[in-house]
Amino acid sequence: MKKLFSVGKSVVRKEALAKVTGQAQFIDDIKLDNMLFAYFVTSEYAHADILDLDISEALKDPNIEAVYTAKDIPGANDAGIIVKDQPLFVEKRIRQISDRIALVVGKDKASVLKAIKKVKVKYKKLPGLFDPEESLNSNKIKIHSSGNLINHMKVRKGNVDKCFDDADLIIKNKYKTPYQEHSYLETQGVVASFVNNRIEIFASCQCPFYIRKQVSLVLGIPMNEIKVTQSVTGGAFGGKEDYPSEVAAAAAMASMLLKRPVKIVLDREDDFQWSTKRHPYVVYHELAAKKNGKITGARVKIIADAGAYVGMSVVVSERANVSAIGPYVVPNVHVDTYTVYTNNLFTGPYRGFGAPQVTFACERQMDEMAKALEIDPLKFREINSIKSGSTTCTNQKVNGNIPCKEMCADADKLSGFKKKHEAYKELNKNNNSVLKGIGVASAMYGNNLAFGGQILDRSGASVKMDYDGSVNISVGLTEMGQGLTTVSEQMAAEAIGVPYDVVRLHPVSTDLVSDSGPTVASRGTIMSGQPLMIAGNKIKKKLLNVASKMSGKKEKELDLIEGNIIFKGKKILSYLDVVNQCFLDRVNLFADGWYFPPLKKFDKETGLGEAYNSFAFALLVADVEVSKITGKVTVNNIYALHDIGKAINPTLVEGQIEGGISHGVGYGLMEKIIMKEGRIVNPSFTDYLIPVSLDMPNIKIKLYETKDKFGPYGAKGIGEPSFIPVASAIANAVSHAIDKPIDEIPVVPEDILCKYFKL
Amino acid sequence: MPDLVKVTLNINNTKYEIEVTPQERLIDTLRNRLHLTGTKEGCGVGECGACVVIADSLAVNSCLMLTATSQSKEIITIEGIAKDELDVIQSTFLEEGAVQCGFCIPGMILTAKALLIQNKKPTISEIEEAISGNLCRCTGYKKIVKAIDKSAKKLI
Repeated sequence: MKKLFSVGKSVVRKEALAKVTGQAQFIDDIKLDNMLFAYFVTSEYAHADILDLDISEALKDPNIEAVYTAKDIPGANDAGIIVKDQPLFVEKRIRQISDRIALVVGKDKASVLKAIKKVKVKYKKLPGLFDPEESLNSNKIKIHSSGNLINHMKVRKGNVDKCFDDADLIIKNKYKTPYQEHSYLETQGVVASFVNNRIEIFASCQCPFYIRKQVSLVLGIPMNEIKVTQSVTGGAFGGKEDYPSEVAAAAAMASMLLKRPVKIVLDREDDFQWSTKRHPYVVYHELAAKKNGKITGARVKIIADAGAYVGMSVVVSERANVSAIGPYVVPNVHVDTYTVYTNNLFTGPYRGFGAPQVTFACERQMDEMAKALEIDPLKFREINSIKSGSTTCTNQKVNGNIPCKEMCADADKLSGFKKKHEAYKELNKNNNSVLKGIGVASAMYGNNLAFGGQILDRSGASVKMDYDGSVNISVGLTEMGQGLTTVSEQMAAEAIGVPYDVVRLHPVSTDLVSDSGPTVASRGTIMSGQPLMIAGNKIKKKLLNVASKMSGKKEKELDLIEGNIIFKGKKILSYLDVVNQCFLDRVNLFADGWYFPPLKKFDKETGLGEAYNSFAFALLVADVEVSKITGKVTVNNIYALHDIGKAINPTLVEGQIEGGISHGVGYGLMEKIIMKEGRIVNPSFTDYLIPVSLDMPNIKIKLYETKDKFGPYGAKGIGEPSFIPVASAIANAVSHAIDKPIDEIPVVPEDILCKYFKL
Repeated sequence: MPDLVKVTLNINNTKYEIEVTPQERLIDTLRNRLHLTGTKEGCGVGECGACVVIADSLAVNSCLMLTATSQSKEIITIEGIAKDELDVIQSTFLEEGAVQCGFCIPGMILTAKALLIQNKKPTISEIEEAISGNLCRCTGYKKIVKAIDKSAKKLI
């Protein structure tokens, strides 16, 4: 293997300089001449019919330029990304409280917010459905004419009935997982500007291409009349995948009709109330095993609350459906996943994409089964974990370096799991104030998009070198804080053969690169790296060709490493000399790259086949204590073991893992949305708590560089695997501490005291 | 429109004589009148710390402070802490990889700066306590705490 000079180094992220000086322009920092502000009028009820809408009073305010409703939409009244079930503005039937009725556009925010109160809406309130299981069984209320069941996905592997008949032990439980709010620090926002007869959009977003498509539909104009540029984006975590398209379509419409720039930036409370959330799941999970500790079968029923519109829910369910068994060898599997409409807020993508919910159920079950079999939980995982040559729950054969068994052994060494698991039981017998617990959870994450979305799994990049030797690169993936810019610059530098310092990536724009899909599914590094390597290698070839002419050496014998033309291990030229010669020879130092992974074969009826091109594995140990007096859980230590393929930038990988752990501490212990008739009653950081510095455990990380054949330089994704097992490991540790099975997250102090201790 | 009042502000060692509304929040004056947009609004109600500025050596949420009452104070924003080169806290945040999306970072750096003005040798617990009013959703705080700790050590 060739020694790498840029990839694998923890270089400083150049893009962060503007962020520490306050120069970075986030969406609300963008100010254009004559810019107007716009905001939505939304529903008072979760299920209702609009009987009358009167905007006349609002329009009387001289500071108000326009009030737009469904009637004003030039193109299609459409906000549905996959299924056409959601209007941009509702004309009659309200299905969720965040349904938009009108857009008020005015001189400034204060005037707009005042005018919103003057828009008069008369409703006929309808009875709603707020429980997904009730919705599934309801004959009386139909949220959409197609019925309340959106779809039913399956996995049918082996003979489940027989294996349950033959089992020595069966563990059967019901689990519930909560809503989760992304809580990106920068709320949703868009600026749209109609200039030179063209719409230009800046958006805090994960996918400028989704926005362009939606705006094209809503305005009824071709895609080349729309330019979408990502503004510096203050966090996303899945929350800025689909919802920004809705805000952007409204802003673009107002801008085009008024021929002035229009900004929409949501207040925090409205961002809570209007944008998508993580799906709450109900999971019925049954495991069958033999006395020797081998799992023989699993029967799983998943009910996902999609809220009032499909959004991306069916895609989220697709991942949940094939992730409910974890990284374990289970010969007989039966999964049914139901995605259901309710009148709750619509749910959508969020870090992990359905996997964290089913992982919680699966990993709790693994512990309950281990306990029943009287096997140490880590040992039980080791016995059943997947290895090279095993098949997944969808019968997909996995090959190569699968580090699961190694991780079990290493986790014990790192954390002292097995010893502590025994010792804490004794310790807890004699302690009246604090109970200690240790828990483990694993996860297996399909890198990239699943079979269902694989047509979107392609990406472009370009590399342009100027005659001063500096390089601009473009990719179709977005920077949301995770470090995509830096790893792209590192991989491009490596591929071309120039120092990292001379390569810059600027935010993605639909004008610069072909539609490369969304930045989701932990695919950023993979899908920016692959086409960059293709384009970078083309530039390298051009440079070596000219260097060959300059030096009289054969092109094949030359290499370009970190800016030096190398012949037989020695520098013979600087790349800058070659670049200068390229300029004189009028060589175009521009190249593009286009990448797509091989198509996967999958049968939707049986749920069997290749769900993903490859997988990343993770194992996590949580060491906790529970106060018997206050019910508060403190996470003291987390040991995070991750299969990263190849760490392009180890510091950034650690950053993802530490951030994933903070989301997991919140998901497992703190973050509780309280919903009443489809409305969040605690839409603030005072009442919806996310982790602060004091809530964070000590963290120890171990990385496994397994070299994935689909990854650039062998890299796999880390954004989501870093989060998926965290809450499950914590819940298992709490169960161990209190010696009671946790069946619902978050485990808040009042649950410890009232539900589990029955105080 | 309420009447405007004249105020004299001392921001980043520069004197500003401007007119503001009596109920105007400091964050709005900074962002909208003085174009100092490095100060971020994450919640508007003092929950997240993204808008922290330094007022007379203390970290304060500029969304909870009225401009009119800021007159006698020395205000420092993120734009004011780098002189000819970056402040040690800024450069250490870069070195330690403490910055991800960056939205919380101005508030975080100013909170750290205020801490190091009050306490030259903070313990890790004191650093964690000091930034416990600054929400960050990306980093898990680890590298931020480390960067502040390292900055303190560099400054001694």
